[in-house]
Amino acid sequence: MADLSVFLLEDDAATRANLENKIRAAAGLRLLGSAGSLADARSCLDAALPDALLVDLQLPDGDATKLIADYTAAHPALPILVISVFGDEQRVVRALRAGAQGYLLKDDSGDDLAASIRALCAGLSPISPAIARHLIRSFQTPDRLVSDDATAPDGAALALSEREREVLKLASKGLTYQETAEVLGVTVNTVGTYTRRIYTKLAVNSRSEALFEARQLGLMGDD
Amino acid sequence: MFGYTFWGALYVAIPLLVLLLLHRFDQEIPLPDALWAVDPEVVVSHRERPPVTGWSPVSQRHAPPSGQRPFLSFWYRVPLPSSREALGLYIPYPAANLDVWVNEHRLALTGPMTRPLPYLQNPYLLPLPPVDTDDAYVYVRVARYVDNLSVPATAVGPLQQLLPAWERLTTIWVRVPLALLLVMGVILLFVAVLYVLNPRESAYAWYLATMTIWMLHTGHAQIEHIFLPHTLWFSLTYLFITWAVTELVFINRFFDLPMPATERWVVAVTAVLCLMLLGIAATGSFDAMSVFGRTVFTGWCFSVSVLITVRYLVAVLRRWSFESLTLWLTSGVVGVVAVRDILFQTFGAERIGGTTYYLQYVALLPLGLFGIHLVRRFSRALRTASLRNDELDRLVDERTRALATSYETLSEEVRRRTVAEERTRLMRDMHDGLGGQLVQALALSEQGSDRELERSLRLALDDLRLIVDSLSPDNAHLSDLLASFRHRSSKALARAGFDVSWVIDDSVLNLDVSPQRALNLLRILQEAVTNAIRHSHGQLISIGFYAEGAQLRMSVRDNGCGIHATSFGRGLDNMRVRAREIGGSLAIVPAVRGTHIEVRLPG
Repeated sequence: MADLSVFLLEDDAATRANLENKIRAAAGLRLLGSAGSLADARSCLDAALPDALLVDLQLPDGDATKLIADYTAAHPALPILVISVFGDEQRVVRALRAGAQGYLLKDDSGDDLAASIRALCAGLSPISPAIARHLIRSFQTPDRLVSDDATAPDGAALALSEREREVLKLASKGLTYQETAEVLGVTVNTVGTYTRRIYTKLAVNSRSEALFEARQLGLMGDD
Repeated sequence: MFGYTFWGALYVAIPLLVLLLLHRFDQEIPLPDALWAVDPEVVVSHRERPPVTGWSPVSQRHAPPSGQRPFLSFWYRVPLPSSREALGLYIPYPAANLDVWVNEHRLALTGPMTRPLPYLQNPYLLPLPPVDTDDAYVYVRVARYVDNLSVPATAVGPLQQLLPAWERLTTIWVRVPLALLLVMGVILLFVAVLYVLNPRESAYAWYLATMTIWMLHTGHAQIEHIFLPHTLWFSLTYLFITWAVTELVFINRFFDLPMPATERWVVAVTAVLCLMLLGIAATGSFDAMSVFGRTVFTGWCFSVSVLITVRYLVAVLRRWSFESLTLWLTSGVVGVVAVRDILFQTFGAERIGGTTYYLQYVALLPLGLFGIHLVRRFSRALRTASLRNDELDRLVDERTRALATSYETLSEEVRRRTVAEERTRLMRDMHDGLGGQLVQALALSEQGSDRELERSLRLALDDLRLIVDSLSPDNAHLSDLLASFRHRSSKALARAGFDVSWVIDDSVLNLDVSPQRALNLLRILQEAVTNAIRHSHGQLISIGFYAEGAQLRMSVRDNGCGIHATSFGRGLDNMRVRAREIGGSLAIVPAVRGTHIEVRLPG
């Protein structure tokens, strides 16, 4: 199996160098390139698409949320990881709404970093209790919910399945994937996939909301 | 009010007055001696008709002993004078069932002859038909349980002369008791209703019991057929009176003079005495029962009465009230009448005067007053309750308005103070933990010790994490902080080869732990976990949070090499200080293996 190519967007030089070293050092990972600003990143990414995209959120030329949204819309299969610092769950959730599928902490060790990237590319997403609580709240909005897993009609939100709700609940209590898997009687990988599905629904709902709001504001014509 | 002398005088005067009135009323209307049958002829016989032969005079004041019979039956006869006036037969105290004949004709049968009355029967007056022969007799058969051959006092004469005497005695013996029974029945009903309304007040129950006993005692004189051995039946009289007196002890509760120990003792002694009396009565020995009843029971009743009187007096002296005063005065009446009754029993009607015991009427005074006070109390309580309710409603309205206005001014002040407190807390948290660790890191970097530097920086980062977590508005509760810590520590613990077991009581979620306390608790936990990872060489760590009432208990336990084998010392001091800062305590629990730390945080 070929090495996974990774592109890194991080403005702080020291952190970027550190992360680059960790990616290079990790088996099975290959650094495709790195950038320190949104503009640089866009030009590089337009030239060659990586297997995984690592994005810091605050950059000198703006917030990376827009970039995440754009690339998710253009390349739905591209796994995007947010590089975060502890305590900024709200920003991470915003990025998840834009379409990011995971996050990692700047102070993660090299092993943790490589493991996160590999898991993400395999379709598994991480989750923390704080993020889980955010998600529980955002999925609690009762109006415009459909429980159908298929593509939601414009303006209607996807609801979580019973299992997905349980995963969120256990994650909000700080249980690891291993523990959650034991409680639910499934494999660790399944829990990761559930999380990924939750993130996807969140992103879909966010887009629908944006559409819905835009239509309410009369920005878009009825079609 | 008035002086003690006045009340003392009243206490003596009222009973004497009552006694005088009773004595004046309780007098038989005397009949001419000629009407009384002196030395009637008697024959002991169970025959249903007057026997023809065997008549012999027997003195009515002299009773020869008789055999052991279930009951006694004998005939006596009195000559019937020829007269133009209407005649009558008058027996004031028959104490038996009577069968009355004139010559060969039966005139009256007051009850079955084979199951006679145990003791009392009402004064008996029978109009006799005119007879023309000179040789006419009134034959009377007496059937009674008392082994006593004495002929009841019998008068035969003009009905007009007998009637007033009979009327007077019937009033004393029958009419007054019946009227009293009626009055007591009404009070009893009232108190029964009160007891149903307020079943927790046992004084009502005691009163009901007392009244019932008294009514049974007074009423039994009017009952014609009793199916009890007569010894047992007579013992009941003592039991009734004794219980009635004993239960008056409970009136104390109404003067806020509780005496539970005395109540228990008095009731216990009475119960024992009653059992002894019943035991003697069951042997069938009437004399033994009678002696025991007269001496022991009379003495006991007298003692209890004195006790009750003294308590009433204490109640009067402590707090003058209409209730306590009236009860105290009536107790005086009861006491004096009791003394008179004892004298009456000892020396007999001839020397003391009167025809009967007075206590049976007079004991009604305290009982009736008690009942009336109970009803008064209850109605007063009802009135007070409704007044209180109105007052309470008004107060609540007033307080609500006042609170609404003061809340406005207060909340602003509270907000300002909370912000100031949070600032102070944040400053101290940063200074105490993070500051120290960064200073240490700086020193390490100057010495060029990379590994130590990294470790120190990680510690600083961990502490900062906890501070940020505890400040985050998302982490409203200790359980949220625990979740974040659990999530974060799981990786490090797994890497160090630990199996982790978390137990968090559901009731911990109900505890209200301030952010400051939560932070310090998490810092202790973090320190304990870090130490376990670094020093313990264990494979197992259990972390538990338990709610014990309002207290929170945190337990961290590993199966490593134990606290004394490690360089835990300073870390432990640190944890102790943090526990003390938030008003808790830290203890090292003795363990066979590993380290077991417990922190207790009172609510």
